[in-house]
Amino acid sequence: MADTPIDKIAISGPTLASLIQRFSSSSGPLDGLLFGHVSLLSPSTLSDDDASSTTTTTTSTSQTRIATITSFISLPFSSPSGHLLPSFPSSPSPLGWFSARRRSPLRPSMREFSVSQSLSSSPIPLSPCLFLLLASPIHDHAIHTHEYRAYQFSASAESFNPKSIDIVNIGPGFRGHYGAFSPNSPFPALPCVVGGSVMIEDEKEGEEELVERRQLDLCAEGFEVRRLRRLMGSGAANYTAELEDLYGKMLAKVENLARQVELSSAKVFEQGIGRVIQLASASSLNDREEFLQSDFVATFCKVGEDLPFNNLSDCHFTTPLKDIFVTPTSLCVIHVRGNNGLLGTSTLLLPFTLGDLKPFVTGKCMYAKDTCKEKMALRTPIINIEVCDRGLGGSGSLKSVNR
Amino acid sequence: MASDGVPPPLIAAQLNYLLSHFPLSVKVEQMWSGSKYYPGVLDRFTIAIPYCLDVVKWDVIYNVESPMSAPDVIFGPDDENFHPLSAKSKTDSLLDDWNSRDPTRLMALIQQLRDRYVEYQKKRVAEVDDDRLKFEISTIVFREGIEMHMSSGAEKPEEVRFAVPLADMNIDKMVMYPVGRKYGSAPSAPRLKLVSTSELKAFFSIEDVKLPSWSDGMCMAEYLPHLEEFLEKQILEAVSLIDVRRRFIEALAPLFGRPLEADPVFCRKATFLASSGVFTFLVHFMIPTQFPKLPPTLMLQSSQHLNSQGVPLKSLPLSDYPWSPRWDVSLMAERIFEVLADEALNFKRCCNESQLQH
Repeated sequence: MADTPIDKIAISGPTLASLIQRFSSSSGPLDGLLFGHVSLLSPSTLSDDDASSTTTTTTSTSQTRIATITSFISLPFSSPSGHLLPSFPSSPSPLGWFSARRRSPLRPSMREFSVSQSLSSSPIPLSPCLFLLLASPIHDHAIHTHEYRAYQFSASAESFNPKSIDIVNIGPGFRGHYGAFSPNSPFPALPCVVGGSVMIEDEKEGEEELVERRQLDLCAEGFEVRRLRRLMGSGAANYTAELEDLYGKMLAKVENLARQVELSSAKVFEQGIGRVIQLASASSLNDREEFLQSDFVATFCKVGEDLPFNNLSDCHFTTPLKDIFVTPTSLCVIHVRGNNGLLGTSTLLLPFTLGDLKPFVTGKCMYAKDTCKEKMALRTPIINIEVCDRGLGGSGSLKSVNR
Repeated sequence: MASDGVPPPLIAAQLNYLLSHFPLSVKVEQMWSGSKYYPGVLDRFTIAIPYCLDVVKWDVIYNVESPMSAPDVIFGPDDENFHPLSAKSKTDSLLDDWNSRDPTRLMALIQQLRDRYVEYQKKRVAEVDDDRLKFEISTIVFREGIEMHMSSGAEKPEEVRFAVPLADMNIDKMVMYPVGRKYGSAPSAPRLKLVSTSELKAFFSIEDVKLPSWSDGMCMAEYLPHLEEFLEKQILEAVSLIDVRRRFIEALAPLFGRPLEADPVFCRKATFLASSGVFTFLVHFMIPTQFPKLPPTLMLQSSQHLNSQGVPLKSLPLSDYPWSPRWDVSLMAERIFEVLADEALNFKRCCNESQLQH
């Protein structure tokens, strides 16, 4: 498939701002997909502005191909070597992808090239395959904090072509964008109806129209399109209630969907922390053994005598959970945070009891990118546990054995 | 820019392994943190890797938020077309099955990337449309370990650089002279530079080598065997000079006694204990590679006088004394012995005077 070169990349101010905000609020580097549309802009020769009306007559008629980025989603979708994960969504087709990494050179890295290459050579190749790189300067003393560059990946030449980015705003300079606006909703086109009377071609309902109508009826939940016609004209008042009922049903459906998403998100989250809670509440040795043999990996922070809870900076060693021994006299808080692009960030503080004293472990639950092989949502979490001895009785703490 | 902080242990282990085990000497240029919350944990660094008698600088980007993950690499601004992951390669599986607990991983990665880089540069050079260059490459391509580098930039003139290892099998594997050769677009003679290994420097000074001249119409395949032969001769001579130095040190023994210390391999240094009356001192002999053309440099060190820091007093280096390269080694030793008999008195006086000042 030939990759048609685009002339420009446009992004709306709010989209770029929210992308930068997402980047600056995340703790680590981000990957994600960009969505939008490609449009051909013919330079407009009509203008309300006096200043330009005198000059537009000479404008050339050449069209510019503009890729407009309208939204993005931040999620990891590729392996460390840049291959697409099996979970890569096949639809809707993105315009490209972005990578945001702190304090690094504003040049595509080895992996970023490989990801773009995978995207443009996947079974459904991306076209245009854009790449938006966001970075921040290596040295602190730079006066700006965010840098970005956009590229189009050319599959035939296997290279990145730098493209300029237009930030779409309101004003005469961007009139073309609004003139060329077309909704990209998959809602099918309504059959042509003129002045309430059915057009003569109604009889020769072709295959095409039948398909369209079926799609339309699906959207309307049994409210046939034919009946919509009655909304026009004098008898419309009688149908209003019926239509309101339809809207009510649609809303209920959306709400139901939202509820399902919420529940499944909660389930995913529990997978991460559930086992830890199990450990916490395990009174019998068997349960604990089973947990300790599980695949969870814990990254330990400093075992200190009075380490502050919010200080996770001293990562000292890493050990599988099976190497941990919880002594009954430990004092711990389990503090697990799902750090998943889809879920956002949430925190759970859980005191639990072992023996006579209340043990506390504090830590972070991070979804490790590298263990993400099968499903995006069900990744093995890395539990980052910080252990501290609050000095209650002063005896013992969560011990770890680093083999 | 060595900021305050340390790399996390898993990354530090890999980096240390790379620095200590990589066949070439890799240096860390700078290290910094890319983390929002832990600015003291350094998870990215620039390394300088020797390539074609120069270095290439690559940024290795780890992520402290997920120390188990494989790093990413950003190559130099001149190498934007270097894409080592583009084909289905070993490197892909190395990255996808990254084991952060294995300290050898980073070195394996850099080694693989450097191998790919050698290929990439060779390919770039091969693409240069220059008949002369194509001919030169075709005549030397069979040589092992050749590295090529194509440099092009806005300010820099386009040029190709070759590093040709010249191995001399007679003197073990330590003798290697990579030759740097720059090839400009004009059909003039190339610029040549010899670079030696540090072992070779111990008995052979590369700066003194006068390269055979490059006659018009010569090609590298003609020049290199000539150069190798020429250097081999010089090296053999240098090796034979080691023997001359050894015999010289041996000739000193009857007069000074057994040396306290002597460099047994290259025979560049020897230290003897001597005395003048009750004044006991050490004599350091530093023998230049051009010996016997040039006399050894002598330095006296008192065994009885210390300065205020407790360091033994030493004389200034002495090499300006009667000397003839045509003397026999035993005569050389005798003449030096005579010179030292006088020098010892001077040195003793100097030592006593400086001691009185304290």
